[in-house]
Amino acid sequence: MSDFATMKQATAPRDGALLWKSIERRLFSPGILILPLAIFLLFFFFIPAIRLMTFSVMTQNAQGVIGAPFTLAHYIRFFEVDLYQKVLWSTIRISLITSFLAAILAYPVATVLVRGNIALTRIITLIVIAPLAVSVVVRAYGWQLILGNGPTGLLNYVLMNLGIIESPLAILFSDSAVVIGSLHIFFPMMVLPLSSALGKIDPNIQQAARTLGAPAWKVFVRVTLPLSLPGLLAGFTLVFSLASASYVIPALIGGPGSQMLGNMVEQQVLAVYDWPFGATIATILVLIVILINAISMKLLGGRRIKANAS
Amino acid sequence: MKSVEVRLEKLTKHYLGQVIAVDNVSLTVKAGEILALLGPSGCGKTTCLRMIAGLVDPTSGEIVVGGKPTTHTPVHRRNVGMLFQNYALFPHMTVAENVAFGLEMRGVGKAAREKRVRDALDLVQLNTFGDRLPAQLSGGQQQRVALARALVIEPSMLLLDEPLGALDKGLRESMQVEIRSLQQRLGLTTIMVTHDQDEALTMADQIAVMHQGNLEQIAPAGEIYRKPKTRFVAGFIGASNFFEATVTARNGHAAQLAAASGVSLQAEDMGSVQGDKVIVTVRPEAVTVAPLVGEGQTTGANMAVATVEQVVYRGFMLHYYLRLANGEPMVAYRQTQTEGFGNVVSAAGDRVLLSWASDANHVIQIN
Ligand SMILES: Nc1ncnc2c1ncn2[C@@H]1O[C@H](COP(=O)(O)OP(=O)(O)OP(=O)(O)O)[C@@H](O)[C@H]1O
Ligand SMILES: [Mg+2]
Repeated sequence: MSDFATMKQATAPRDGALLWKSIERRLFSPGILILPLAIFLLFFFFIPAIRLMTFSVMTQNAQGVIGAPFTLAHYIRFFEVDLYQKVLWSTIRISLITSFLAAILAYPVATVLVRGNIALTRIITLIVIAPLAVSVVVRAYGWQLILGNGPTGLLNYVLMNLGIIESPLAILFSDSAVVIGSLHIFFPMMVLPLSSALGKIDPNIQQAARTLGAPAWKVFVRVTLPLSLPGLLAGFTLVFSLASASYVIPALIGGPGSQMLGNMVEQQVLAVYDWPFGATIATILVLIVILINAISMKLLGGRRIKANAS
Repeated sequence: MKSVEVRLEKLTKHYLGQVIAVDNVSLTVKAGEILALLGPSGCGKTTCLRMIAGLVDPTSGEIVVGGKPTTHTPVHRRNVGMLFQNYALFPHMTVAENVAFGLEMRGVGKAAREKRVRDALDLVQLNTFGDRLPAQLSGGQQQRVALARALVIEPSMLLLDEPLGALDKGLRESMQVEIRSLQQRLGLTTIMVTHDQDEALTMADQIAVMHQGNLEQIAPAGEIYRKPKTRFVAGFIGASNFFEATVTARNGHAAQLAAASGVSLQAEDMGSVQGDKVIVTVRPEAVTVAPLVGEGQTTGANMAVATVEQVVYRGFMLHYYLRLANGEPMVAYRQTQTEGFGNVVSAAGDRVLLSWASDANHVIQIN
């Protein structure tokens, strides 16, 4: 009797602990941990996105109701009308130029971030990250002041007073302005993955290349570049995806020739009230981004397969 | 391959923030020899080697290779073969591509390149591994690839920074012999960094002992063991017993000394030592341990009464940890065999009589 009581006392807390363990295990399983985000994304992203995409193959009647019949007419229209083609190519062009420039400018910055001393690293991180704290709209207006086309634009004012140029440059409301603005905004998206990739390269490997007779630029081409490719591709994909979906920057500092797909979506939906065509443009934009991601994954995947071969 | 002499002249490196990593080091490595830079962690060995490679700019001093000053030659024109502690192979290139890299940089044509890569891989017995990636090799194989990659460019010298540090003991020893014999076959001037004195003694013709950025002594392996110039070297290379002593009488090269611990010493060769205050070192293997017959037993020169604190079996050696009357520690190593396998072995707590030959006393000058 007393034996039984002590036994029970001894096992009871252990059972409790076991029970808690199993609850804990279920509670913190990966499925449960991502559930809140999954629900959020389902209702506020996937369902609206799919709805929008289905609009692109539906018809809008005179009353503005969207429904059957299903049609590819909007896509045909997009690829038949010159204006839309022009906007498509300018979107791709501006995004590519922005991504390339970001990559070229990010290499030296990321190198210093990774190899520089701590104080320098902190300052540069701050300079690179700081713009993220300011709204895109505010920054776009800032660029308007700096790039202003008249002699009173900050850049023109400085260059003219220094005697570098004689008549003011017309940068604002052009492709260049959009590239400059996008570069400023999306630069961190290039620097961060790139510096993380560069940080993983053992400096001895680069030094080994130097002792083997490679001048600095060859070390970069043969060793640093291939070894940092994952970071470069991640940054390139990020910047391209974000830049191609820009809306504020081309609207505020771009010219009529540098309007991008995002601006056209806005026009179709808010000015023309043509939801199906707006949805078509949006879908095409998404497809471009998916394509770029697929290409970069393919490039990376190819490398991995080579690394595992033989 | 033509061997060259490497000379360092007052080589000095100050890092930012006042760290004097290498302080006024001058030394010469004869053509075709191996020099080992030996010293404790942080003494400046790596910095020294990297300055020779050109990876670190000296604050002052000259590096002269084959009679030509090369202090300001950029790394990629120095033609050095360097081995890094963690191999530093190019992870995205195959073994053959790794070895070919230096030849490519030198503009060697494809056919010649392939032949030389094959020869280099033969040299390190890895001829069937050309298509593998470094990640698919063991540590020892990776280091052999690194060796092939360094040798294939026919460098004017080979620089090794603790190249075997990451390998296990057995492999390390066989690689030591392998590198040594390759180096001798090629007659390649070699400078290696190590903090392992056995490695230095096994591989090097000359050993340079560094301490806090300074060169303490440079001498052939045997000499540095038998005749350490400073107390630091005596303590760093093998174990030593130290006596602080005063010279009481000199007789030509020989001298009588009185140690602070009360032991009287008789040295045969004072060498070039000046002054009365000196340090006398005695290697543990020179000290014999005998049971004390009677407490009043008279002791002469190079003898001392001690208490055994601990006896440690190290396979064929017995290590005695002893303490003198005044509390100073001493160590004696005896071969297990000569001690008769335990029948006369002294145990902890025993009083024993230590003695050693007068030529075991090595006198070091105190500055
Ligand atoms: N890049 C650097 N900046 C500042 N100080 C450095 C730098 N590299 C080395 N030092 C300092 O210089 C001294 C010598 O370093 P070094 O790497 O040459 O030592 P070592 O003898 O190779 O040591 P170990 O056996 O640990 O490799 C150390 O005090 C180290 O902290
Ligand atoms: Mg080192």
